[in-house]
Amino acid sequence: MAKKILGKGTILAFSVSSTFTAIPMIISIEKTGEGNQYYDSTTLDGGQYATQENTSINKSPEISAEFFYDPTNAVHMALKTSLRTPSTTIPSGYTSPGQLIRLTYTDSGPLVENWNCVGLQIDEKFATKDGVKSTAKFAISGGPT
Amino acid sequence: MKSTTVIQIHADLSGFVPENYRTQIRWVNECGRLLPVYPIGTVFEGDHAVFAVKAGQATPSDVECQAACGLNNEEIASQQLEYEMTAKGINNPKDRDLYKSGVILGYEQASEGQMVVIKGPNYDAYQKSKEEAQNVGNV
Repeated sequence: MAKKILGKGTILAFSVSSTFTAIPMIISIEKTGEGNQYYDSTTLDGGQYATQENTSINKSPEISAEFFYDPTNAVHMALKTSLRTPSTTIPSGYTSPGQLIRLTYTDSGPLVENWNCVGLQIDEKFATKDGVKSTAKFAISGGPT
Repeated sequence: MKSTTVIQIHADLSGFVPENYRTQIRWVNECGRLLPVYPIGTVFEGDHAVFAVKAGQATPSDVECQAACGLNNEEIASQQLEYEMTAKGINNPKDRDLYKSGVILGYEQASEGQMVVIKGPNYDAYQKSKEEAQNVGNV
């Protein structure tokens, strides 16, 4: 039977010196854009409806996480370091240089997905009525391992 | 500079792993899958040793590491508790307070697909005092 699982308790970690280090103070995580790539295959001599076909290529997702940002936190600082000095190492099982990130779901398993992050963007938001929040966007290459 | 882990950390073997790290890796069975981990007591070295202390994963093993991390013992202990919660996915500030007070130990999926807290040693006392406070409010 399918079960509902909750977002609370989900862990996002990234690789630092061969350790998966969990990112603290996460508020939310989004994984978007994973899907099949397809193209418009409609031809002038076709039928009444437009057609599309699968390219047999899957698009990798973008993973983003919003968290309260602490510029003195060692893990948050390591994220910034990763952004300013991107990894040149190609993780085994992949073809592009990057750094693995790991998403651990909250199911009883739990499901664990590793993704090769090839680019990172970190935005910060400062507002009078809120703590300083940051959003890290991880550009992904390839599939999960 | 060396530090020693105080928490089990999942290892990433997809890239370069120094020989002295590789020999300390253990494989643990997590729900039917074997995953590589650095067990409690793993020794990290160099800048990574300092990072691990600052992140709350480890405790300094020598004077150089202690000096380089710039934290006193109380701060190190606090960082370790913070990381322990992060590694368990406890990010909600209220839940972090409950964890620190020994009311909860983490989360687990209940059989009906609901998330429940793992009760800590002070869970019952906390619930009792909460009920008492509510009763006082109702009078």
